[in-house]
Amino acid sequence: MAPEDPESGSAAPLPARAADHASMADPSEGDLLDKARGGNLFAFEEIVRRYQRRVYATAYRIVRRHEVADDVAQEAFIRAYRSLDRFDPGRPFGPWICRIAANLAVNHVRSPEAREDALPDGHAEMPSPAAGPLQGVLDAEARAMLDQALERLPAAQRAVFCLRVFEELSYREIAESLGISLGTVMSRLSRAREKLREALTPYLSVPGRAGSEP
Amino acid sequence: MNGHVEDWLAAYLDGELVAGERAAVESHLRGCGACARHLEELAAVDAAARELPVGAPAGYFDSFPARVRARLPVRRARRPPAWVWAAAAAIVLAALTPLTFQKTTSPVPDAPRTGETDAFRPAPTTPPAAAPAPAEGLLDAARDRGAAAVLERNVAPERKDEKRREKEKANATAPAADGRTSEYAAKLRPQPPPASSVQKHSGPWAQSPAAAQAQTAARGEEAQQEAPPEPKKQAEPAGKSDRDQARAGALADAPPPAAAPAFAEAPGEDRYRALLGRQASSPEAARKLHDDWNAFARGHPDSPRADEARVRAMEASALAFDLGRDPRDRERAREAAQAYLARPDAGQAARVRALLARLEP
Repeated sequence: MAPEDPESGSAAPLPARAADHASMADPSEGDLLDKARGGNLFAFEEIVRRYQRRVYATAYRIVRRHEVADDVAQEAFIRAYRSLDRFDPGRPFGPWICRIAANLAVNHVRSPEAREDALPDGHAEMPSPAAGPLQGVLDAEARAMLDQALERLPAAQRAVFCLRVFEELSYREIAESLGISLGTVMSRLSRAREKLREALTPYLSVPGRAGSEP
Repeated sequence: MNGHVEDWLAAYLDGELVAGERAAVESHLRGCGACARHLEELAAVDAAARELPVGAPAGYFDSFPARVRARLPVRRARRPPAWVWAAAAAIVLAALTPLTFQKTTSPVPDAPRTGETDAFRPAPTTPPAAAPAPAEGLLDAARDRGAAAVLERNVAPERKDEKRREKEKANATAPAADGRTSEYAAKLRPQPPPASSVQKHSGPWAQSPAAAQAQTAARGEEAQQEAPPEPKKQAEPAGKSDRDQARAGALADAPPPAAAPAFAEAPGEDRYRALLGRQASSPEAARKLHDDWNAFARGHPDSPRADEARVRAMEASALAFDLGRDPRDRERAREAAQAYLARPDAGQAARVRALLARLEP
């Protein structure tokens, strides 16, 4: 059973941000949001369809479990729907909904339930990921190594890393989202990157394997 | 900057250094191959992480939008502006005032209300909800202000207009009359009003103007004194309470207000969320989760959550099988999935079919 790639759109394999940008350029999105504000559930369902992959990916990268990412993604859209009146139509919807998802995911990984809930061995519930556009950066072995290293990161460090690298939030935005200081953001991000770098060191140091030959 | 700049590299990479710091790091990098190499490696880590795929089960995104839609609360339609209510109240008062004067020789037994004289004034210039209402010692002003602030912080944005009007009612607005905390205030919305006070919570804000007029007319004189019905009633005299109960019975056959369920969440919402938050790490826990999801679905068959609960129940069985490899769990999940797919209202067929496919021996 082939898994779905949340980063790919249904129509064209655009990167997530490019796909979101394209959808934002579609004037019908404003109409959809306006109808959703008026209570049109189907209009909001279309919004969900457009952003579900990106929101799911945001959640999954932080919580690292499909079931939890599913819950987080659903809850993110529900909260967004409830707060549509507060959403500024002049701003892009994608970053807003992703930040909601990221906050929910972070809240989950900080919860006692998440700490008690050990990650399954070898992602037993997840199909192996489909081949992605990895040309020139990582081979499968290095990718698996990096994925495992990400999973081993403390949740707090992983959350900061994800918000910075995937959501491209500024340090200040990360600090506000997580309710931590700028210094904590910097230290967690630095530690996370160092751990990931160490995990990738064998690949980074071999010419032609990691694409970043020093 | 004399030593290495490793501690600054991440912030430099992210463009988070101020100009002076950035210049110092760049100066160091020009002369230090180790730090320059370190920076390249950090950048490579970011680039590699961005290209890690995130997989989801096949068919997952087919059903996701519908599952979200099934969980969305019903939004209240936008209310008419305040002047519409003011006009409606003016019309009602204009129609009923002559009748009231005719009855002034027959006083209401338990109606020594301070706002009574206000009811005889000409058309009000404020919307009905802002009409004068007796405080009667229910709340002191400070407590009211505190409650209003708490509600303002916790209220959903779609209720801001309503909250603003409630503020204007000063002593009459009593969400905190019973000392509810902010957490309770957040939960206030989904809670249905008690049966004995149905009409108290279904004020004209929750009705169409026509419905409001019809109810007001049916109440006759009392409607003049109390229009619009206030949410606070608990500290009123016993005689008033009896009258409210009688009125509640009289209104029992009236159609529900058009927007009454607007902010009501699905029944069993707390339980549903508790179930959502549960994780099973053993077959026994997964089976218990299956039982609880099924119990929820049976207990709330008309809830929009019921469909999700049924699917979650079978997914819990599948999880029990994954964790314990007991074929009975797989069989239970498969039977439930097949039964679900036979339902005419199977809204998540793609998701369940994907589950079935995964459960194939």
